[in-house]
Amino acid sequence: MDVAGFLDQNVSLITAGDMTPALITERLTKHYGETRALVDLDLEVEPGEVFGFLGPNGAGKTTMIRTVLDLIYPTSGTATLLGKDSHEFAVELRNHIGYLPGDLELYPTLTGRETLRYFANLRGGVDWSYIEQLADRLDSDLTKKVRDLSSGNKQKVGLIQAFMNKPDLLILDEPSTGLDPLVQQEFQAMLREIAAEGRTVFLSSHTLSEVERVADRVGIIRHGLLVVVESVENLKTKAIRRLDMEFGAPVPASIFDSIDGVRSVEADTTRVSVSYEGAMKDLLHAAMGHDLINLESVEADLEEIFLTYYRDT
Amino acid sequence: MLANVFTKSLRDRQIATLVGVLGVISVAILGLWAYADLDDQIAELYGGLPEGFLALIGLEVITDAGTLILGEIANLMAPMVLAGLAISMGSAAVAGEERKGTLGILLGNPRSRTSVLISKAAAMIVLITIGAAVAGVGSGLTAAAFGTDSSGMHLPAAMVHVIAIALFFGFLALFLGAWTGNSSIASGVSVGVLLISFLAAGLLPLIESLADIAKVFPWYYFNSSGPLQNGIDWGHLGVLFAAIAVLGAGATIGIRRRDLKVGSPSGELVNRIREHPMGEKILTRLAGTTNVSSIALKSSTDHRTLTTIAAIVMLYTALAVGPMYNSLSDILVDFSNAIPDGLKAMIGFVDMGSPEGWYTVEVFSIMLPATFIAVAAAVGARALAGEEENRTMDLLLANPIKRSRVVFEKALALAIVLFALGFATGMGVWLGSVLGGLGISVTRIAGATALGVLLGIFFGYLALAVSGATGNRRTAVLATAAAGFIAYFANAFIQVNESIAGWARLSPFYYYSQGDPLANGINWGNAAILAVACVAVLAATIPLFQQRDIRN
Repeated sequence: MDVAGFLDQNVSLITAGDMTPALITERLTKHYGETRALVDLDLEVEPGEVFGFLGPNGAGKTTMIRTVLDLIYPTSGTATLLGKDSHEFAVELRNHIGYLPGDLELYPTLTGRETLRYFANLRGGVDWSYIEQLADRLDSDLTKKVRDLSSGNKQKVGLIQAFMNKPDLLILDEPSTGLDPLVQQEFQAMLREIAAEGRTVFLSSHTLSEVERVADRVGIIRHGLLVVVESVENLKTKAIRRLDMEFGAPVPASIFDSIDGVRSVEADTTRVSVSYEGAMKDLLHAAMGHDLINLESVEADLEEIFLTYYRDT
Repeated sequence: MLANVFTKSLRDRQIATLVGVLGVISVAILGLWAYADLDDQIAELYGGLPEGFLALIGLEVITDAGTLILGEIANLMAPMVLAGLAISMGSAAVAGEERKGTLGILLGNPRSRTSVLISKAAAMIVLITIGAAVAGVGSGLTAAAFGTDSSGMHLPAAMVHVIAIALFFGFLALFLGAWTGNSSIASGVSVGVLLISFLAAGLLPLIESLADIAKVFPWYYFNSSGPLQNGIDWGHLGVLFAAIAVLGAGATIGIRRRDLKVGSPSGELVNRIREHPMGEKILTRLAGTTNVSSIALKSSTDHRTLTTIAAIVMLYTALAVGPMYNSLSDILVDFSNAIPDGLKAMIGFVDMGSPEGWYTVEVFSIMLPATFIAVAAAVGARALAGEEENRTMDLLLANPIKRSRVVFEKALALAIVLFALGFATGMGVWLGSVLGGLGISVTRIAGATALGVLLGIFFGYLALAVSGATGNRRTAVLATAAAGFIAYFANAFIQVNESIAGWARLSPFYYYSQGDPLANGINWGNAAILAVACVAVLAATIPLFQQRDIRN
């Protein structure tokens, strides 16, 4: 192998302190005849972050991933991975990318080990001891033929395949499918380690709890359109929350009505329930002017937030 | 009857029917074009042939090119093509849905097993009837366009007989599928019965003492009465339709009495063999360990079972043909001398009386190309479209490799498979020649086999090209089969007529067989043309595959 080839396979495209975005799409569009699978998608994923890509079935998640991986070609727009055009440098970029397809299928007659050896041979420069480590962590039996594996165990082989070249950018399409809770936990720990090393994870999922646990930011796609990109924290702040208050004497609902951010008030003599968004300072201030005995803040339900984005409006 | 099951069954086979019927009409066009102005020679030529030769194609008298071609269409090609289609529909109807695991969903609806079966059988009847009608009208119009006098022929009657025999085999497959739930058994047994029945009904009547045994075989009731020349034989048709009714009723009972199976994607037969420890051992040994060091080696070892079986068949046949020559040589020499030049053209002007000619007719004329092309089409179609249909192409291309490299490595794998088949065939011919003391030159065996390998690779690369361009394995297999079929007949027919013989050069079969390479040695020019054609098709595959979205 020549020097350039060796460097391509073994040298990270990301150096310490490099803030080149791991993934950028600009007006990325994909049409299938009349069907608009992706529409003018503008997205930027920072290095070292775990980015959750959410959306209902058929929203365009897989189409977006397959487009940036150069498996299908955009109708218009561009994608840049690790600072390089995803089409022009497709082959070179794959040295630095790990990919797990959604609805994973492997070669049924190969064992897990043979499968990984096949892909490792095609990649070159994969450290087999690292594969053994990954198999240990995910509790994967590599001696069985793929056709004899359950879907969860097949998924583990797929995950090892995606992780084995220590990629700068890991693109995972519905990675938790079929994994039991213990393995899911280990897998999420692995994702956090990757982010801690400055590498990037692009995680497509419709499992909200998983995304909430591991992602720094989320993008939500619906009907091919990116409807929101926010940090999980910001999403929660923006969400409508509820404050349940109990007073020593009846309080009129009208005292809360005019406060900024209040959406609705329900009063039942001494009990008042207020739905609001934003900061609660003004709300508390108004309540403190009365005989406030008890108060309870009900946390925003992330699932409810996602559903508002998912639903057709 | 269930309208949606009926229309889906029609839709599933409409392309195959169209390809089959177009193939039949193409042969009519090619044949009539090639035989134009040769009426006198044909009458003279076939007039002198033994009765048995004509019996096989169901003709009593051949007076001109029109009779010959329409006879071949009505008695051989149309029934074979439509019976094949009917068998494929019959075996897919129940057993095919079980293998795919879709029968459970279908019957999860509030519909009875009988109504599903009847809907599928009705679709088969309609499609075969339409296919026969189109083939009949198309061939008739072609004959009329070439000025054939078909006043003495009963083409519609012949087509009614075609429908009956095709449906008989379709219902046989349906019956077997309904009772066993095994599509491999249903189609395999039906095809076996079809071939045995065809040969038995054609040849047994020639031997007086065995003539009556022919009546056991369904093919006897199809064309022993000569429907093309004598019109419909209601008695014979009655026998066939009664048998169809019995098979249909039997299928209905079969599907109602049996526990339905859940899907097994790798094939029921293979799974059953695997269940037995010895079977598992043999299959594992045959398949061997897949070599995963490169795409080419993995792909070629993936096909090890198919390659091994095809190689053994070729080796054994080629080996057995040699010693047979000695016991048949006298008859062969007589037969060869009796054949007029016109007919010799159809078998490539081969001298059947010589050991080389015997081998050419028995191994190199049909068996080698048919086996090599069938294997090459299966391997070529699976190469790219198979990975897409099995959803592994995404993972493969996620590696740092160009799509062109995938094409090259798959092409290399195909060449390895064909070389293995060529080696086995060449060895078989050589051993057969040694055993029979025929003294055929090793160099000539190698040359003729090498041309066969190149021919196989050409059609394999054609399948690879269609597979890369469409991502659809079935389209690739169908297109290659159709191309092989037309190319074979184009070469065989066109060479008969000297005035148009030059057109045969458009067929790859011309370069494979021209000059009788086993007897006269390889023509390097022909080999080079085949090799260049292989490279050209392969080069065209790369942009076709590169510019396309990978299917998911």
